[in-house]
Amino acid sequence: MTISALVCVSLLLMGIGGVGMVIRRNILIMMMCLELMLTAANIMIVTAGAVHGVLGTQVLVFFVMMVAAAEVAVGLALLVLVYRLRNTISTKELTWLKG
Amino acid sequence: MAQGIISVGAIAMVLAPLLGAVGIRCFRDRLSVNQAGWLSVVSMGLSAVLAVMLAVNWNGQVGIMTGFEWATLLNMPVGLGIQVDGLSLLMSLMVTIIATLIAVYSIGYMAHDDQAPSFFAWVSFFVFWMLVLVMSDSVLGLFFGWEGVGLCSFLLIGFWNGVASNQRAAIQAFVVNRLGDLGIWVILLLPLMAFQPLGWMVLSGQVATMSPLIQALLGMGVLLAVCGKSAQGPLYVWLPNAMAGPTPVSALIHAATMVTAGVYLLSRAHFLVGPAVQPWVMGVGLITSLLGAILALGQSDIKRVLAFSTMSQLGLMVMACGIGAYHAALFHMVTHAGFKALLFLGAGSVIHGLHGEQNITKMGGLRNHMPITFWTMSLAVLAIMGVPPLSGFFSKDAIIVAAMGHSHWLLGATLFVSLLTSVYMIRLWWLVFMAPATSGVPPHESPRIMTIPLLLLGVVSVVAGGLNVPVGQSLGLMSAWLQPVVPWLETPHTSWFAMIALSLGMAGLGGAIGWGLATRFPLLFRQWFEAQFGIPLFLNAMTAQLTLVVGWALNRVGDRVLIQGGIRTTSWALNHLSKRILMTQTGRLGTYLLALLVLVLGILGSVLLP
Amino acid sequence: MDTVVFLCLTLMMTSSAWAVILARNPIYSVLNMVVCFFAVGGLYLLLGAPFLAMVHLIVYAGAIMVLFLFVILMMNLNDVPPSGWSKWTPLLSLGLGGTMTAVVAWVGTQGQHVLIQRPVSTQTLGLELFQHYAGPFELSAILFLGAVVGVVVLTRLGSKGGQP
Repeated sequence: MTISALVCVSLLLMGIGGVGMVIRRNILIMMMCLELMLTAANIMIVTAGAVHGVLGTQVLVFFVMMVAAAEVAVGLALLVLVYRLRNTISTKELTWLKG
Repeated sequence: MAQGIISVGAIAMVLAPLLGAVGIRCFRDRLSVNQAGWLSVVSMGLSAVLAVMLAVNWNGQVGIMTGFEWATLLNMPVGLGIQVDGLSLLMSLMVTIIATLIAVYSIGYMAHDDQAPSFFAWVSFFVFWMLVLVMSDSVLGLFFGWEGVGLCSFLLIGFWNGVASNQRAAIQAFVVNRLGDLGIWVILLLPLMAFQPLGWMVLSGQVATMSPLIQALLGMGVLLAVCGKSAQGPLYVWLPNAMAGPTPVSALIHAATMVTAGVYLLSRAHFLVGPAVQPWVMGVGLITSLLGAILALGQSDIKRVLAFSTMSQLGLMVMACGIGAYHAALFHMVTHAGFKALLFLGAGSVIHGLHGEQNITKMGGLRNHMPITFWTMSLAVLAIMGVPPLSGFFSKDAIIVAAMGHSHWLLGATLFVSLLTSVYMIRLWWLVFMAPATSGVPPHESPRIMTIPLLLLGVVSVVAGGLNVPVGQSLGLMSAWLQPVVPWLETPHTSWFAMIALSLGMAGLGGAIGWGLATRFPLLFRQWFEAQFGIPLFLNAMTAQLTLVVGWALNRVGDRVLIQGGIRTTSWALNHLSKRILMTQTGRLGTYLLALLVLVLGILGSVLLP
Repeated sequence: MDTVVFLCLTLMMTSSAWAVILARNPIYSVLNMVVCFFAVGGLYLLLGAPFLAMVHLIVYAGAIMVLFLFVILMMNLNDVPPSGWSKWTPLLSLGLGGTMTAVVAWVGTQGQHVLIQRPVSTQTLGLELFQHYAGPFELSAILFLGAVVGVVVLTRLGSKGGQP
């Protein structure tokens, strides 16, 4: 379990999340990939804390989790709203911002 | 002490007409024509009296009072002040005395015109500006006076502004004068740019230090200004049309004072006209005097004959300045002021007596009906023809002698102009006074208030020659006055007998031709003369029409193609570009996220990799 | 020993992450996500953060994913579009995950090992949190308040025709 291995794991997880966000058209799945990316960041932070023995990193992870939770709540509320208005959650059809 | 009194007197002399003008203008509605006129006469008369007193008490020294430093132009301080010397005193004497006489005359001439109080206000205002012009000690003061007399001439030419042609004439006078003012700008700004002061006394010493190019430009500037104000060269076109104003205006402005401002400028700024430019001055003056004399031969309007005559005589003066004979030119200017003002006032008397008739072919036989006018005008005609011992003989003789000293062909040209002068003057005189009466209206002599100035001017025409008669080897009185500021030209000595004979011969020959023209061919080539051989049309095409064509071309090419085309192309390009950029706004979340991802990776890469 | 566990966890993590993306049925995505989070929790334990591991599981797997499930189920969003991929998804995700694990293993042969002296106890973490980070802690409470209010407002907007 070397530092580079942990960093690699984090990066790979981030990459998977990123790919997922770009590929999938279902907003729900996109939000889950967002959580994946956040988790990957968390792993990195914890790794850094473990390497240097700093306690503040774990607190930071704590806060990140809290923010992620709040964000998911609001995001899902918005999703519900959008579904009620347009009856779809596919980004293929949600193109109001098209210029 | 004496210097202080002279300063105060000079300032008072300059300001008196201004006070008169302001007073008349302010109380315009409450003054009758008579009251306004006499107020104007009093203000200008006071000025004349002060001028005489100044002249008598002048101690021969050039005195400058720089009144105050006014501003800093182009990093040079410029001021306004009064310069008292022979030339400025001579000019102010001439201007004030003649203006006073003309104002007295105008009281009678403008008696039944309701707008007359304004007239007197403008006349006084004009005299004020003319005095500023001649008494100032620097180019700047002259410039102010120059513009002021231009403005007043515009106001006075277009005085009867209900008639559109009067307005056009006034505008033409002003605009053509403005063209000449470019020359004044040159002599105003170039010395400042060369870090020289503008005062006449100082500038005369400094001119030699400037480069030949600047000296040539200064000389050309003076020539251009003179052409504008004195109706020389191609800028003459305003003078015949300026006859649309009341006759006293023509007498004052266009015969005696304003047009002589050009000659004054040439004399005052003689050091600016170097050897490179002097031949041009001479040429322009000569051509103008020939052209004026020729055009005067066939005119039917009494005032136009006199206008072209003025143009021709001014041409002689300018030519004399061009060959360096400044004293001769100034002498002729003074005598010409006298008899030309008399001629114009007499013409006004004739017009007044005939109730507005100005066509000389419809006049005649006025000899018996208007005796005073007849005799005084005849004196003036003889004077302008150069018949001794009237004033015109002496002054014209001075110019002829100067021409003789220059070259034979110039002498011949000058004599030819004198001949033509006699021709058209006798033609005029015959058709107006001597020919059988053609108008059915019985004319009446003018009232005394108009004839007294005529008489006084007649006296002037007779005796003014004595001003500059050289006594033996010494200079005449006027030349002695002018000597310190205006250079004297040595001219060949001739015998009095020869000159008298020459003048009488020219006058006689010309008179005979003129009588022949008047009796046999009074309407010879009338349309050609009235169109002035198409010269004004040609000049108009060169300037105004050319400007219109240039404007039309600029509109077609510049405005429509370049500017509008440019704007349209720019807007089209922007529109097109924006449509292209708009393609990135797909509205699809996936696209945006991808872009974001790429951006973040790019930033990270650019930061981490190096 | 550490390394083996680490690699197992990595395999679990990456393959379930791939499965999240590649699954057609959203319910399957959610379930795979939960599995991933379990693996992450295990990783935290390995890294000496037991409290974080528990919190991670509780918050993410226990709350957030449940929230997702609720939304899916209440909106009837689990209509699976017919496609031929769903058969291959498990294998594909395992394959990709395995590849990634191999990569990680290879990377893990070089470099310095992480040595955990002892895991951070909850007491220590709590002291740290409430002594030095009390400010942000309180602010996060406000954050949650905002989130709750926002959610309530948004849901009422949709249902009563725009009357907040």
